[in-house]
Amino acid sequence: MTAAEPFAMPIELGKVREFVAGTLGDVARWEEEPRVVPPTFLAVARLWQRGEHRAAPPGDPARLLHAGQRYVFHGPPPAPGDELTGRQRVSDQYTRNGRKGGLLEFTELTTDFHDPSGRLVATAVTTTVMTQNAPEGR
Amino acid sequence: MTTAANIDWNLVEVGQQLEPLADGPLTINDFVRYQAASGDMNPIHHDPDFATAAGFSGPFAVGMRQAGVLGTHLAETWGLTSVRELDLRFRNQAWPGDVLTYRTLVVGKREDDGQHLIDLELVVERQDGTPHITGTAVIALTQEVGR
Repeated sequence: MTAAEPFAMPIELGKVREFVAGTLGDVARWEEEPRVVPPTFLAVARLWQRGEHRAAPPGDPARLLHAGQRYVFHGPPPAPGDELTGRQRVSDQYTRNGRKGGLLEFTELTTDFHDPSGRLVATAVTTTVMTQNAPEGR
Repeated sequence: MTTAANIDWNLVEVGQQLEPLADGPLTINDFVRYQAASGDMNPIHHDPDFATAAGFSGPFAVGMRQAGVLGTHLAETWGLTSVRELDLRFRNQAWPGDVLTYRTLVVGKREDDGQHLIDLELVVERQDGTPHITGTAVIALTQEVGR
């Protein structure tokens, strides 16, 4: 399946601090060397992606749920100051019949992040599910 | 909490459970703080009118926040650069007021290309024991551990 346009993603220290604080981390520890990003930090890539950088259109926020998330680091994690290039593609699409949720449409989006030398630094795989009905109303 | 300095490859045992992390009671403020950091401002996590119109009893937790709490905690426990893989499934929603417990179990220990790798099984449970997130992680113990 075709990939969206690549996008630039500079790793910013202020965003890392904000992300560490928002995930209950000890901000002072992440200021020490070696400075790197937390394991799920690449979720902020969405702030760098405009429409042409997305492999699938954003779904209806009332019906779109996050089913799974995977990160693979092909070496040490990215660090503040790094300039990554991300590229997203649809890596799988399938449907299943849910119970309360009705027909469930799954989309798997894979984003590869390369450094300026062309080395693959990290891969993020997001699985979303579009539901017909609110699936887990309490 | 266990610190990186406490983790020695020789002392890690398959079957070992780490000290669990407690998180909560969750508040909508927790969700919004993560949403602002990540850029995912889906109102279903903070706008009661939007959430009820979508068929839910109210706003529910952002799964990626708890995934992030788990990831950040793993890195702080095993070494900031140590997490090589994190693979998570979102099971049951978590709600404001929930108290979550993050559990880590060592399920494997291996050497690959000179690296010391540890396989973990992860679960984030709600207070009634239902799983919110389940998953696995691969940790590479690096030289910074034990510094």
